[in-house]
Amino acid sequence: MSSDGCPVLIVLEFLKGFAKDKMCGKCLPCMLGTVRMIDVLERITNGKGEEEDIVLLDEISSYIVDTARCKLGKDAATFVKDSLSSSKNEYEEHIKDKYCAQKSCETIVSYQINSEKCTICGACKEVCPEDAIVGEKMVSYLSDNKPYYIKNKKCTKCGECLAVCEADAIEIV
Amino acid sequence: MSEQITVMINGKEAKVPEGILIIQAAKMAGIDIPHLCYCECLPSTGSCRVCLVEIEGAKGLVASCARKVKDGMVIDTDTEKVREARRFVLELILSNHPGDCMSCDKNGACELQKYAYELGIEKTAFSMKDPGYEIDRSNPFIERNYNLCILCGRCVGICKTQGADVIDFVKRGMVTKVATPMDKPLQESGCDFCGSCLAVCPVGALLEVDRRFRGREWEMEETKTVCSYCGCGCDLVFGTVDGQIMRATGESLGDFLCAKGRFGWDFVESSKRITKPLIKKNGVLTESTYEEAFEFAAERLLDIRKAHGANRIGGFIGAGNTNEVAYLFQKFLRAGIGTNNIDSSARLLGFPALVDLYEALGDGAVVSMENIEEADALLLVNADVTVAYPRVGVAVKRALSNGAKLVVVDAGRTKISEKADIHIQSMAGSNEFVLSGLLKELLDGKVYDEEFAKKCGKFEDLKKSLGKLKMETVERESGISKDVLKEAAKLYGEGKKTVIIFGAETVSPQTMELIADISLLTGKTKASVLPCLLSSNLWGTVYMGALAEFYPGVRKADEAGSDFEKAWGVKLSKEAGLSIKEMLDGMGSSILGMYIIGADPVAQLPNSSSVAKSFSSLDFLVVQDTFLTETAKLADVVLPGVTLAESNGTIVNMEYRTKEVRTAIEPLVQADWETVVALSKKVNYTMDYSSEKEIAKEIKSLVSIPKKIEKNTYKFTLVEPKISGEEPDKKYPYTLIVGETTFGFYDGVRTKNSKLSELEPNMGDYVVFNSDDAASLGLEDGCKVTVKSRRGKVITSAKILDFLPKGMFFMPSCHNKQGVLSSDGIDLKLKSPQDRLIAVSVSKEGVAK
Repeated sequence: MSSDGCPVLIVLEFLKGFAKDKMCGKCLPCMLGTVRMIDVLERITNGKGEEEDIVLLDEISSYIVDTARCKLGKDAATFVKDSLSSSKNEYEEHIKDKYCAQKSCETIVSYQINSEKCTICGACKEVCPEDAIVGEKMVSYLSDNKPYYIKNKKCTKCGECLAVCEADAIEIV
Repeated sequence: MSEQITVMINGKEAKVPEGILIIQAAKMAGIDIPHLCYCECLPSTGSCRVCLVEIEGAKGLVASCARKVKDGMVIDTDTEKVREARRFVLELILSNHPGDCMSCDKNGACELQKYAYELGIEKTAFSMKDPGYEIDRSNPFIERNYNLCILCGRCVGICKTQGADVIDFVKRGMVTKVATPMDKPLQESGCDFCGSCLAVCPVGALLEVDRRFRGREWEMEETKTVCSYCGCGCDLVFGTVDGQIMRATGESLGDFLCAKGRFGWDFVESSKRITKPLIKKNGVLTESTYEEAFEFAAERLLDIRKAHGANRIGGFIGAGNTNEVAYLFQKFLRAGIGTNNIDSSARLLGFPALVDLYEALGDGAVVSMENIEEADALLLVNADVTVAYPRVGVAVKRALSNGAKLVVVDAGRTKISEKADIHIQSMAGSNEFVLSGLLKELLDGKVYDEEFAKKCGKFEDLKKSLGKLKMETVERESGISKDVLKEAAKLYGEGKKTVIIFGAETVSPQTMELIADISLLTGKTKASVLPCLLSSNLWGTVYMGALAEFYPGVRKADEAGSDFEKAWGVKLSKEAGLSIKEMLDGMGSSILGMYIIGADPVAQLPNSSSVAKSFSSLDFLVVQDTFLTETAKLADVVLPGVTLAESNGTIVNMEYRTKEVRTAIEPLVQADWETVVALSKKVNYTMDYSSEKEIAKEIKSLVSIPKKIEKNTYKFTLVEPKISGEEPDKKYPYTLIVGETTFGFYDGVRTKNSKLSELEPNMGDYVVFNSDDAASLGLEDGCKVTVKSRRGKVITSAKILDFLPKGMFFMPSCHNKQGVLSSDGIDLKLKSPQDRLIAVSVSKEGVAK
């Protein structure tokens, strides 16, 4: 497994590719089981993972290794199993802390405005398609500024604000 | 029998044959391994992974439907590991099976339900997924709900082996689905509606439309009987609830039934059935009582007998009645009335020529379906087996998949001819030339059994006459090159187990003689010749004495008369009986009264307008039938008849096997035998029976059925080949071939009153033209055409399909329009008509020629 990149996401992308190209769809555990694993992994990378999900993934992949008809299906499940044991921490971080260390699981990460860097120019608010950014543009010589911040519930991590901020004040955490 | 080996299954020792699958071995040892995709009648696919077992020393779990047993194998079918794996797979399947067992007709018979219960799955660990497919209810017979499909692949497998091969898995991976090409509805995909898919479906994805919400598995009563359509006489199990038929299936999973057998029984419940006796009053058939009808009929028959003699009365019986009814009917006429004028539909469907055929070959020649399946070379003569006799079609397909060679002699391209090694697409009516050519090639090419042939009579004469036959004549008349015939002769002659299959109603008696000659020349007289019969009880009807030439037991009237006088206790007429053709010719003068059971001669006999005229000229006509047929409309008295589904008795099918018919539902009207007995009493001849069993007992004491064919003359017949059927001329330049269709049947009486007719385009009212002829005649698909023959003309619609060569058209027999056109030219020797090839002219309707 490559060291750069989130292991959970790598497994998810791998399974999606497997289901699309290599899977023959003839043996039921591989076909139906892989779909279920994709479901669970999507849930985890979306920050909606639950504590039992790791056990569930481990169960499904083990059963597929036991029951699938061919090596392709067994290998795909083995890949999941290996990832589970080698990157247990990352899975747990995703589920418990809703945290993706590699910052690649877009829905887990959150966008924040570093108030020290922010110039209160308002460019981010203008481009935000979800109205997730609140605050008021600074008016010179006036005190009582309302600094900008991002409402995480509304934010879809589209990255528009990131692109327009000249001060690099928006950070992914 | 292969060698026995010892295996350990769940700690018990079992002796099983070598080379079988673990799942089969377990079954022999009384252990049922859960399985979904595996089906005994199909090759294993190993896809469901439910039948996994543990084998000592093997890595991981093993699919028991894919691995064969080995000596000393230690198998565990019920360990915790196995159960866990099965549970996992079943939970996955269940989470994709948004069915409601509550309202599913498969409830109680569903294999998924059964195993889920056995493994104690209360709720699947996975969230439910609904594939969201639309339920297909667009055809009249099979409801397809792919939301319930578990992708086991049984339907796909069986459609390939015995269906029309129209469904397969489409797409891959997660969106795999079973579908026809381009996902068209079944009725547009070329499906034969044999319903084999439905029979093997382990869940409720495929169900009989008629059965939905009308009763469930455990409420169903099952009756094993016989299909009433063609002569295959397949075993049929009717499932009934509260005296109503819900469905028909084969006896065991994967047994083949065709669309007519599986779905075509619904005519039994048609609202058009005759339920009360009818008497013609002032030219109108009016409802009456049995008593009145019997009185009236008996009085009129006795009047005729008294005034003109018993021989002015005749009888005609269909070939779809039980042996018991056929026997009683002829006894009524011979003993009760005192005439030998009795004939049956058998005469239109290959008899009495077939009696001669088996007498020439001996009864070893009789063929069963298994014989066909095991054959290594098959010769099909004018038999569109997949359409007209579907069970034979399946047997041929199975033989082909076992590697058999196939030679087809047929003017048209058929589903089976496309699989043939050699298709001799000869001119319509030239069978005799083709077979004579084959005979000569067998002889000249030395692919025959000289030792055996020498023992047969007239071998030298045969050699001489074949020596005189010029292959150029054969080539000219049949349009087939002699090289093709040579190759075909080699293919057939070199086969070790061969069967000649032919359509009895489509070939001439001379063709049958040639077939016997081919069998004798090649020494293939064991399980070698199968006449395909169109009606369910042809052999039985003939053996019961319902043909002019024969008394029961195919005994000639002159030698058997005194025996039957003794048995029946009356003096019998010494006069020979008349065939139906002779009766027709004499109607109005030498024949004044007729009694007809279960037959529609006006529709079945050629040149129907003259037949109808003859019947109208009778003094008295009584018809006993299930529907108001063309003949019944002309009757003075109509008595209600029953269908085979309401009868008890026996029939003899084309395999020459006696099969038992049982009542599946309470008869709608009085049973046929009771009606004959009651009428007989009124003409002062008492036949005393309390049940069909007693009639059967009497028959048994007089004849053996099916009759053992003792005589095998083994003599060549030397046929001078001729073109059969009507020859085209300048005025009528085309040949019209009348034949069977997948959803129509013979005279169409039953199929017209069944939902089968919804599947037959235009209810069979069409003529098929090939595109060349259509272009030269200026026809387009669906346009109205006038078809004229020397007897009459009909207006029908055109269908353009390329399966016949130029100059030949096809008309389904089930719509019965050919009757107006067909020739009543008669084969003199056999007194049977040859009405399936008609010379016609064609013009587009509304355009002057």
